[in-house]
Amino acid sequence: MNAPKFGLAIALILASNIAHAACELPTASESDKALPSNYALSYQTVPAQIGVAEHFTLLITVCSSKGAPFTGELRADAHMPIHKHGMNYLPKVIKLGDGEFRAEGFMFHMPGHWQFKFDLKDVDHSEQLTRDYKIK
Amino acid sequence: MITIRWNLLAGFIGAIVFVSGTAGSQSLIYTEGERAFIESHGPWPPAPVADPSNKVATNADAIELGRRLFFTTELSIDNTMSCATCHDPTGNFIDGLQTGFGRARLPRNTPSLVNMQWARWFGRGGGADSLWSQSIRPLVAPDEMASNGQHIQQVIASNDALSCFYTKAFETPVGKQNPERTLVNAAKALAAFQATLVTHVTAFDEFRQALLTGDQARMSQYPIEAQRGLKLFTGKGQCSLCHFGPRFTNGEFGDVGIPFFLEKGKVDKGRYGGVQNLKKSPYALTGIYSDDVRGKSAVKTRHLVLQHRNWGEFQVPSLRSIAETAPYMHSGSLATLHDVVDHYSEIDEERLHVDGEKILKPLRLTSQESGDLVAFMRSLSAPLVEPLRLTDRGIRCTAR
Repeated sequence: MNAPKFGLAIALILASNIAHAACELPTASESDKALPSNYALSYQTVPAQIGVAEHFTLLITVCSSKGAPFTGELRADAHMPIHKHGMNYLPKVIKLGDGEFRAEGFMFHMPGHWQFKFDLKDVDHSEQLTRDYKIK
Repeated sequence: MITIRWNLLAGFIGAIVFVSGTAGSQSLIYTEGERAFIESHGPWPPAPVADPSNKVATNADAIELGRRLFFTTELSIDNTMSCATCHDPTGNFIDGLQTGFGRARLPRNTPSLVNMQWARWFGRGGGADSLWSQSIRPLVAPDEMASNGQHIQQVIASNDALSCFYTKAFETPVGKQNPERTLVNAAKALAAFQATLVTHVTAFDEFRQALLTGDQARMSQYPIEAQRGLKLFTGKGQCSLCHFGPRFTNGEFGDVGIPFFLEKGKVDKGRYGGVQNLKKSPYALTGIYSDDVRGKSAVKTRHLVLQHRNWGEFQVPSLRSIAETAPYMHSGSLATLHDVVDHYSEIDEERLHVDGEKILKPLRLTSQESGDLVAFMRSLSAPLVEPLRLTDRGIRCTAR
């Protein structure tokens, strides 16, 4: 898990720059494993263990690489890269606060390899982050 | 005990298959992956689900009202047909025709009604999001029962027993409500009745339980052909990707290459039309007739999105008791289970959408493999848990 190290890095950045608000990724969640990016993102599924063909929600935390909470727009979706199809449902993202989001309406209708897609957009950058997820 | 063993080289060591058992009965050995898939198809039946959008979903008076309404021809506008006319309870709740026939020939094959309390969408195209809203469609469809709320209200009000059960179930006399509300309530009673139609455990379920507990003797009672078919179902066939879970369906939709053109240039839009109909339906779970005030049951409807690929998609059917519900597919175009297996074995990829399910490829099954898959599907049949009561005798409604 990279999350604890990243959280420490965020804390160090925060300590040296009081202009930024704190932004820490939950350590118990799926941590950021992306290539170097303008953002760090983590998510948790609700419920924690999801089932095939059952609706679930994501709780998402996004920080900028400078350690500040992400304040831009977030869109979330998912697809099966191998099968070349997406979900049958369109999730709705609700902003809970700076860097904190709730995305409702997910459902993986097949077992196998899925990939979350997070489209992030703020005044400086636009970027898509992906996270793999396998469900049996 | 005589033990028979064959080793089949299946590409890698984890797929080596053993057969063991007593003379005349055998059981294969399953990989961890196969066991996981097999386990996911149970237990049966799942925990009961009371539809939160239907406040009388488990009400005994509503169930009895629904049962009586299901069988009466009086609900149709000209007293010629009942729900049971097409959903014949002596024929596993189907009519056995290629496509249904109401007041005219209908475009789709009549689906069975068993185990519907666990369904997510209803109808071949999923044009309804609850069992009660699905029950409204044939009541009012011009080519089917051609009825309406006013007619149904008169039928119930003029029958002492129906009126009594209605009043007890909905705590309001039928005559005190507007006809539209009566139509919805009649459909909710029909749904309450249909939700009781649950099939028993099958030979497959008994095998699954034996597999999980390591009961070799009981496992060996499951026919070897069905076991080979089960391995194909979860393995080479990839059938479990869509026919997932205890009902052997993920409850969603797919394009499996069955033509969706109707006569005279008409097209059955399948799921595309289903979503369109649902979005404009006054009876959807997002509407005023749902009893789910918290609205959790409407999550699926709120997040449903119309997509181009929905063209030609039809609901993945449950495979429980599938052997009893020929003919098959949304159009009833395949007469037997062997025809269905042959369809997937030689599937024409050109018929599939460009952005369709890439998991569908010709399986090129041998004759034995086809037979094994059919044997497995036949092992999914069982009668109803509660035998259907076809008479009103002995059931009286006593007003409170």
